[in-house]
Amino acid sequence: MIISKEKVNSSHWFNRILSMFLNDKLAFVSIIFLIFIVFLSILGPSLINDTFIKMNLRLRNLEPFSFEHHFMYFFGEMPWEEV
Amino acid sequence: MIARLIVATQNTIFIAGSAVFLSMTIGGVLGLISGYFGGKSGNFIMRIADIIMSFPSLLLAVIVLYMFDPGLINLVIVLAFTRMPIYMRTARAEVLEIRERLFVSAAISMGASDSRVIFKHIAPLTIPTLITIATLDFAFVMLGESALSFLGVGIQPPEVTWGLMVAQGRNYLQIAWWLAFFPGLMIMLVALSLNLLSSWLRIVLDPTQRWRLENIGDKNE
Repeated sequence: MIISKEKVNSSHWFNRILSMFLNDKLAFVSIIFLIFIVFLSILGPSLINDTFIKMNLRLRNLEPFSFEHHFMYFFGEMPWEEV
Repeated sequence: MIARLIVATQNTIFIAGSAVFLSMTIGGVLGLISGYFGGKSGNFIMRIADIIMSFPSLLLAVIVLYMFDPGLINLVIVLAFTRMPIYMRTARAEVLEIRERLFVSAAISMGASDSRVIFKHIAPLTIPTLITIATLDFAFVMLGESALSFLGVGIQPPEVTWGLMVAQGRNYLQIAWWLAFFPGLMIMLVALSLNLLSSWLRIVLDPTQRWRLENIGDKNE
């Protein structure tokens, strides 16, 4: 049994955690999503081009899921009335 | 919209993260102290926890944020304060049990100081539980922040969070559903994945349960 214990100890901690994640697929997906969200919250605001932050009155009330415009408008656009 | 969502992500994650971190550290330490020393000071800390718990947390937040100006820092403090009793009680309950174990008696009989026993011997055993609660609480705090922003006492308009986006979108629900839908979807997805992650963490951090997720006896291991 000592041999198998050594084997377990020899595997890298990252591999151990990864294999534990792979045994719970939902947790694996959720940790990937959460890491993505954390990256977005840290780096996101500095990555956005200024043109997307300014009001775009030409596209106001744009409905989502339209492929004609830039992908930053994929979720639709604000009405820009009072906001 | 996506640009706004990303900017809102920063505020939301910052508020929820720092509120959870604050309440976990302060509540955890208070719970450790109250559980280890017991007696009058321990009871006093637990009565404070009772007082915080028995007062409706959203009402307290509304009152405090109405009296002081509702900025980022105040919001974080209020949210941390209202979520603290859970950590205090859990830490205390864990400590009451761990305190009686043999290795703690051994440490005490060898002359370890109180702070060393608390932070070196007892705290490492309570941290897994507290972290599991914290991941669950992160979702709660995010929803609480959304509720406060929705009521108008949270973050104020030039700044933006997901909750505030939902609040602003509700005026346009009939003509532009996507304004409230996507931030709401983000809140839901993050809360959901935090819940799933915490159930995974609960198993992993518990040495008697961990084998459920390990490939024991696997030849490739």
